[in-house]
Amino acid sequence: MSLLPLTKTNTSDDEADVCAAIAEASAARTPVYAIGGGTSLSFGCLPSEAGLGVRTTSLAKLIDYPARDMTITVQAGMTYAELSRLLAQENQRLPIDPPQAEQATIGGILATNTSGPRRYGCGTLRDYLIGLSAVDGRGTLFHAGGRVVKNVAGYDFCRLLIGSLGSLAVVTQATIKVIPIPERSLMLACALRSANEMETMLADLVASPIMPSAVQVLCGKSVQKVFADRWGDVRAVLAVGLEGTQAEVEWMRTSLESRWGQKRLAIERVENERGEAVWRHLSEFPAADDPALVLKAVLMPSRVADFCDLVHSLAPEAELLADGRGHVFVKFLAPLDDAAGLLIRHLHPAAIQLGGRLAVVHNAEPQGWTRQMIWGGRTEADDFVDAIRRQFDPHNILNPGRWG
Amino acid sequence: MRDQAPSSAPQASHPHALPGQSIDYQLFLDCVHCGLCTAACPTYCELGNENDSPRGRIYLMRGVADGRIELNDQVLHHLDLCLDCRACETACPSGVQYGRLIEPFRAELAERAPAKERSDWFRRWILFGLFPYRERMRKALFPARIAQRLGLMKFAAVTGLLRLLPQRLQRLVAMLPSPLVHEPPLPERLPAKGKQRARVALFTGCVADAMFRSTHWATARVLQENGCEVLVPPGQTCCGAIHLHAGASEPARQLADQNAAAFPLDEVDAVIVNVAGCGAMLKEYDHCFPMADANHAARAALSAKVRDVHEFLLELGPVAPRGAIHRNVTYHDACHLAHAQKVVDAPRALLSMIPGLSLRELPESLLCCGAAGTYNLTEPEMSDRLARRKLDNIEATGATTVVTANAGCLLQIMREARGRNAKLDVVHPMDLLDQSYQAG
Amino acid sequence: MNSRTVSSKLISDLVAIVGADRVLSARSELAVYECDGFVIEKNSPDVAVFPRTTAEVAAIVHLCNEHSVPFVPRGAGTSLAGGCLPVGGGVMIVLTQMKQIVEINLRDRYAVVEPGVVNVWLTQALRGSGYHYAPDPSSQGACTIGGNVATNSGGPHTLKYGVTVNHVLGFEAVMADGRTVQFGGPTAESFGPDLVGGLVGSEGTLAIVTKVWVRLTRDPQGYRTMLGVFDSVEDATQSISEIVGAGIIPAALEMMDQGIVVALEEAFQFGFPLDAAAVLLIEVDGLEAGLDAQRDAIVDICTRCGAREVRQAADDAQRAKLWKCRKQAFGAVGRLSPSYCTQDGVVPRTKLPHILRRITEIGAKHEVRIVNVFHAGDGNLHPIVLFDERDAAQVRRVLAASNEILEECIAAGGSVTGEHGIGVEKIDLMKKLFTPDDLEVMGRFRAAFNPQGNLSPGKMLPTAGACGMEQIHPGRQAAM
Repeated sequence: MSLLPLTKTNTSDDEADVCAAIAEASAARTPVYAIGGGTSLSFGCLPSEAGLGVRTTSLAKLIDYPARDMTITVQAGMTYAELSRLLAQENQRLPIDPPQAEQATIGGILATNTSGPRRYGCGTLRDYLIGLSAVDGRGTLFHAGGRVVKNVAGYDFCRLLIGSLGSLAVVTQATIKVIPIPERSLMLACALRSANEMETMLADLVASPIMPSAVQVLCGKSVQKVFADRWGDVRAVLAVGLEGTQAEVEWMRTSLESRWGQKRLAIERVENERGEAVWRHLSEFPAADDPALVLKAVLMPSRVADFCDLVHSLAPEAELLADGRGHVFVKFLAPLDDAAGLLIRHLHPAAIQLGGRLAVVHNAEPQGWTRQMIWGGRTEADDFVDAIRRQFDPHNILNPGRWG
Repeated sequence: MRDQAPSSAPQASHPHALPGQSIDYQLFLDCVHCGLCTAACPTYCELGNENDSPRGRIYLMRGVADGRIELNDQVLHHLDLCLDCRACETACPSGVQYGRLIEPFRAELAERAPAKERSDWFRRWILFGLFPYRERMRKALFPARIAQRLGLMKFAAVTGLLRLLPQRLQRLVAMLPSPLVHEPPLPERLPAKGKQRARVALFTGCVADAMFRSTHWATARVLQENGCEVLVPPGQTCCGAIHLHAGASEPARQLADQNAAAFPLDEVDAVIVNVAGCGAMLKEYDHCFPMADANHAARAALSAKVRDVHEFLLELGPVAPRGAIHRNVTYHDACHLAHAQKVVDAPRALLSMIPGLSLRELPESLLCCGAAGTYNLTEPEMSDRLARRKLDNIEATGATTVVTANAGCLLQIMREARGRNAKLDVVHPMDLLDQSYQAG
Repeated sequence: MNSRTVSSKLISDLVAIVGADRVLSARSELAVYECDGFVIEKNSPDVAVFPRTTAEVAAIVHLCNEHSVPFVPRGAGTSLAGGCLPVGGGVMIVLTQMKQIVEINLRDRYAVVEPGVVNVWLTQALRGSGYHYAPDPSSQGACTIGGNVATNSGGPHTLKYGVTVNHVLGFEAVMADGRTVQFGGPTAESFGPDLVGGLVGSEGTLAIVTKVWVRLTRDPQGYRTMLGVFDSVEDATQSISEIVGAGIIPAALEMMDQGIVVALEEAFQFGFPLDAAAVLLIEVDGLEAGLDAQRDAIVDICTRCGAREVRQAADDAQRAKLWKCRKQAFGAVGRLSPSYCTQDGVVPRTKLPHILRRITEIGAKHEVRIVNVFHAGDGNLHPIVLFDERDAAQVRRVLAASNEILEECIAAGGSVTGEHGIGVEKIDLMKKLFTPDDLEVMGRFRAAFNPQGNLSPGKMLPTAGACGMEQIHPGRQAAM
């Protein structure tokens, strides 16, 4: 929170108060910074203009949970952990797994488009959000979607607001589609011997009939934190989450062990308490160990191994968590000497060349960082983001400066 | 076999009334305009123009009938471009009887066409002069056969001599299967092999009998192998489909009457047809000629007895052929078998009984090859586009033999294969079955 | 018919872009473009043009802007809500000649297609690859992927697999100002507001899609298909709740009520008891290893909930037979009545017994017969109102009943459309579903992309000045 230039902070448990506060700020042209659990405040560029903090953590009520409809409506300040506890009572879940789940709010996850290891098999929040209420930059409360799982009436603001970093509207309430907790969940891990092997293994999974819920590759020092007792000197570990009914998981386990066995790989079966610890470690990776800098790249899945290789050659100290869906988190525990050089000359162009983009999602010392370093170059699509912002937030008071 | 000519030129009638008046208006209303037929239509797939889709053509016909849309050259062209393959009927969820809209509509248009157009050389000599008469046809083909044997066709093609012929005649020549083999006509009766299970009459038609008599022989032998006594009634003639689809409904009806009189329906279990187009026509005499004249009941009785050979064999319970044929084969659905007669699985089921045969599914199998009766002569450009598309799909399967159950499709696919020097055998399912029975 | 708003100069300029054979300007040839699957409101475009490349689309849009004429994209024209209606005439940009499957990348699980690719063509192209494109609206044999993107199409498998937006990674589009812009791409997501998600389902009012990156989904190893026959709608919906409560997400969960069952029985003799109140078609798919257990659990649940009979498909042929009765439902409805209109509403799944009861009451009140065949798993109703269009009084009652059903859906916490879209058909219902502020913000969103409002005018949002049309005839629609 200290990252934001706040003059005061409004913490209300009433949606109408949020509208009023924003309307007032709009009239006074005062910036408004929406704050949830405060876990991602350094995502993107750092705002510099002093303004009002709108804290949503008190806006955290359960509105409606018709479990048999597999939907839940909650206020945006509810934490992911609280939501998960509610859902677990009905043996349901929202498989997003953000880091710092006890602090991270639904509104914050939505604004930052945070997702976890299960994105490979279960998707991201855009696949679950079906309705919302939000307040635009004029203080107008608006709704989109609804409480039914299938609905094509009107523009889809649910998805539009995902990833918008509080710059289009402050989300106050969300309706989410949920799914059953699977009967069984386990993980198979194997040590990778080379960078080449990583792509071979990922491609093999895509070609196999196995349907994992998570495909993660941990590279660098953090491997030691989970797998040290087993593979002390290994540089990379592939972890595959298998979930479903007993019979399905058993079949996938056998089938995967046999595929890997033929390649003479060292395999560990991770389940129960240790399983939970490994899942947690993977979910927490971007936030764990008080990092100085975290980058997130979203690439074509087949290019993830190349990217990891490149990062390793440029910055061997980086810890990496890659993903079969194309995500790579690059974590630095200590500040970089030449961040501008690494990002502008190497990593942004590489990400684009590998079919995707890269951004800075956490930065302990953001002073002096440019838009170019944080977001890379602009695309034509960004012109339309600006055009939407001018419509939703005509006075540019919502999280100004976040996009640089 | 007698060549009895129907009256040649149809008479023009009520030229000032709007076309479409002979169509039961309810048939137009059956179309709820959902558009699910569009992508099943070959011309729409090629052109992407709604005017060239079934829904569009129904809209045009209805608009013309209502006096809302002017019947100009463009509209006529969109209607002419229809292959009448009836793939749209298969796709339609509402049961629109498209054939019963386009066919009478075209017949009306033909009747009001200027006399010059109605009696151009092609219609007079080829359509009405040659097609219905198998012997005339065989004789007309005789020089071509000699020429083929002497390699003259190739010579003519290479030297460009063929180009001296009128364009549609050139196409007709190009369609000829090679080599044209002379086979003796089928006898009037062939006994069943083994225990007799059924007694059937075989329909031989005109073009098919002239060009594919060997397939008739094969069909008869396959029926014999399956315990059928086969009659080949001598009085039968062309089914009339080509005439009807060209808008000449009166000559078509005369042919229908001749056929209705030729078959001893009381003596046979079924009238077997091996050519899809003829089968579809024969089965629909009732709908095509609804006029309550003296022969109506006889035509309806014939229709009721008509069975496609594959359909019949599968119902009868086919005797398994035993001779192995080691070939990669793909099956092309003839429109008039799949869409008009809804016979889709039977030919595949029969082919898969042949030991050693590898049957590969053909992409877009249900899409017309562009033959469509005389369409390949009247709409050459679209016909060629569809032939190319069909051959591309066939080649993609890697099959060396393509099997299809219609004379027009066989000719069309053969021509396209020859045109691109593709090593492809084009045969009728009965040819392969016969081969397997004879080898087994 | 509108008066002609385009000049001969515009037509000759269009011909200069794409050639004369790809421009239609004769009244007789434009008639077929005056409506789509929604036939109540008709209006002819002034000219229809068939581009083959993105550059041609862009040039056409620039030209429309220069001439200040409205323009509207069209795919196969299977919209059931008038999504392709050229309100105000102008230029119709028909995308059916942009029909290449540009790329199939199985490793990265995506395909790139042009907007005119028919949904089922992609399915066919992928056959045997082990992957498929999941969204399969019932019109998939004809509808285009461009149209699916515009309307965020659903289908019978959305309960488990989601709708179009869940399977679109990105697209290239020509914007209202003629610029060509790429949103998203082969990667699963990007940074910033999810414009891909925001544009999918915008019904052609924000951009003209010229290329789409779609996600490919692994084929299931197997299927188990069941058909439960129930004595009451409550028992059937209770079974659905119990199945879901047991943690099973069926790939398809379709319901047919007694009216449909009787019609099907008369037409095709599936052997259903004529007094059965509801028939449920349930299909699970996925890993072969898990399917038998799921099937047994479902059979057990249905039996416990009072199913009179649960049929199971032992093989593909039997599976096809069970699906046949669902797919033939519409053909059968044609036998009940000369005309019918299909509505599209959504309620929370647990409100199904309530809404079905209300539909019966509404039918009785307005003296019209209503039968139901629908996607029960998502609560997506398709009540079919039967009528004879020659009876004007009955036609008015049909419209009143349809509106009342949709209002009932709103009251039950649902929506007025689950998959057909707003188009022009339901523009007035938007005011009942959303607040004036909601609609105002939607208008602002549109203004960000389409400030002149000349791209697909008169669609989706009720705007000041442009009043919604008054329905005088119900639609007669077969697809869903």
